[in-house]
Amino acid sequence: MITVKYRGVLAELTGKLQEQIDAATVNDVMKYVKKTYSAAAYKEAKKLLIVINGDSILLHKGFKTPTSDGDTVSFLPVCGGG
Amino acid sequence: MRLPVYAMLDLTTGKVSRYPITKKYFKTYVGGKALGCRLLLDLTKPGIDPLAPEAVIIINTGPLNGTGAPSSSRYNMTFKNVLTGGIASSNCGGQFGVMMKKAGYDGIIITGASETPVTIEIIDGEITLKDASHLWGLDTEEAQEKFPHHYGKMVIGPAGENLVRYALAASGERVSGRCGTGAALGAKKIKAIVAYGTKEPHVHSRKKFDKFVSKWVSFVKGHPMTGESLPRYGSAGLVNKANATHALPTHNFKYGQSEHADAVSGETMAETALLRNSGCVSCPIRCERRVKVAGRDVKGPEYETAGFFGPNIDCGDLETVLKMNYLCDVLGVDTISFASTVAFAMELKEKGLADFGVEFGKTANLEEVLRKTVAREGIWSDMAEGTKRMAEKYGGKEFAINAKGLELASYEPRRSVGMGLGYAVSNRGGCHLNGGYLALMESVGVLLMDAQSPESKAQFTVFLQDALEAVSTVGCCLFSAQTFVPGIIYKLGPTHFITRLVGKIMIHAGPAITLMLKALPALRFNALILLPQAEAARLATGLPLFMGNFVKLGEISYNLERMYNIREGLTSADDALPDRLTKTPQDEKNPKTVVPLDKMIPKYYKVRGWNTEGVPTDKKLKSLGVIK
Repeated sequence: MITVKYRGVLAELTGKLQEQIDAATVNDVMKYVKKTYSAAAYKEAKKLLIVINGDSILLHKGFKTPTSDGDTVSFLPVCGGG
Repeated sequence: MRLPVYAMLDLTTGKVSRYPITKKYFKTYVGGKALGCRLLLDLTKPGIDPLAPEAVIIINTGPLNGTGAPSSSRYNMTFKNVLTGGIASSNCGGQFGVMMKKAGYDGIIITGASETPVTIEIIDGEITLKDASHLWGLDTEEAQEKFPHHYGKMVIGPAGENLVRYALAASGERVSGRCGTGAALGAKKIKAIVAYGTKEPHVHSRKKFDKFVSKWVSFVKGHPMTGESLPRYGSAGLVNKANATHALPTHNFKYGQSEHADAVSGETMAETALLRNSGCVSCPIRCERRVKVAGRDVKGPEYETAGFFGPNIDCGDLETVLKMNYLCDVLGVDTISFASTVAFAMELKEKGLADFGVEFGKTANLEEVLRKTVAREGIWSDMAEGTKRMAEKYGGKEFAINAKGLELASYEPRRSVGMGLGYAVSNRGGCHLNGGYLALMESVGVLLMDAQSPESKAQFTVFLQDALEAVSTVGCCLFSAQTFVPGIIYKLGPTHFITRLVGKIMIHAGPAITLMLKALPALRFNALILLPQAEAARLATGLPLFMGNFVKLGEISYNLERMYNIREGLTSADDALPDRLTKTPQDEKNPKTVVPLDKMIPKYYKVRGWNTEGVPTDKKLKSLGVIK
């Protein structure tokens, strides 16, 4: 089981801050979101920064990044600053 | 054509006079920081002490201040940098700049020094000096409460009075925080400058301007960054992003990722502490956080403050971050420089080099340390000097995280090497904004170039430095420039293949950027989606400010700042970073995780048209119209 965390608009769309699911890759998590929640939630999830155990998936294998028991996958809004 | 109205105030004699701005100066430098730097070069002799009476402070506005243009309330202070000895340029939102303009002045030039505390009042065209002995010792909040609510105010706190080198000046709850603005004012015994007036700021083509501004406001509100992310999370929304790419300074920049990041992030703040968002005059973005500290509704922390009072000192307590942010503002110190100095002091303790009573992960006495630093009590007076001077006394230069003496902002440059270049060459010292802010395209934004590659970073840095410089010069907040990245990219998101493809193309775009920089005079158009500030400034001034010469205005300003630094004795040796960032890989298994300044700086000088020592050539300065 892995933990999936939702923030911001995605948390509002899923109605959850976090949940535990079975997934072998980040792509499985995306498929889960698509199957379980609304099209709007899936659309929102796709445009967010996806992080596994604190690291951007872009530092690993993107959607193909494997997940293991106890991992945390988070969806974070893209922000700006200065 | 209306020329800017400037006053000169000699605090030693109390004399106030008009200072004429010529048509040539207006056409070449326009206003704000560019004109401020030109005047500082003209009015000061080389080598003066930044805190001496002969030091000059220029407080001015740009043509868009007070016009109703989005995010246009910022005034600028130009002076000799109290931390670096080079140029200081620090701008601030709040009411003061707008009110100074409504009172009839685009800028004031302050020379000399008063023997006793003074308030400068600028009311409907009249400038007078008032005794401020009764205000001396008050914090920034208490001092501002002594003036009528409708005045625009700028005050210093006890830190400025005690010449803490990174003291700030506050206007409302906004601050011009960097470079020692508060110390520069405090040295002249200026406690407060207040302004009030009812004149409408001049706009050359009012009807066209209003129509354009209306479109611009809609554009800002409709853009995913300025209309959604910044209002919802503020800049502190970057904490988790920087953490995800190992670009979040942790343990005094030893690491780039922290277990404490989420606890002090913009998302957690929004979920647990945010009362509402707010904003400056005429700003549709409303990025300001309102939070509760000790039962009071106050301004919340920006990204840099959250990062520096959080992971960089191994703290995961949001309450501590909120409280320290508030205390720094009211006592009058820059949160970046103070918190970075604390982290440095913690590492000095860890290495057995000095003991200021601070340790990583222990925050219970931070308020006490802040108060002692502000009061310059005992050894804490050394902390009031900043990391550069502390390292000269106690050692640890290799982990004193500053450039030229100004503490770096909260982007770990070993995971954002273009930002590292920007920090090193930035005229005012370790500033992300004056440095071109490439971190937004390398590690914390939606468009991500290869963060470890030096390719094309020099060219992007030059372009972004110039563009941001121009935006500041006309009086706008740099957040208004965040619409430069097309909204569609945010809608696709950072993982979409098109976004990643654009990032991959950008890393090879250096030669194209060089060509564009050479062709600037030919870019005689403006576009809302590129730099809307240019069109607004064109309509407000009547000057031919199109995209090309708008960016060139930034180039003029950047070269002027460089000229000032060189005149004051700074050299290419000052375009440097501490060894920790250039010689010690952040990831010991990945030798690429250092800032390869040696590969980027020669290219940067070349793109700038400077010689190999980083000095603008006569040819370059003549082409910019800065010298004959």
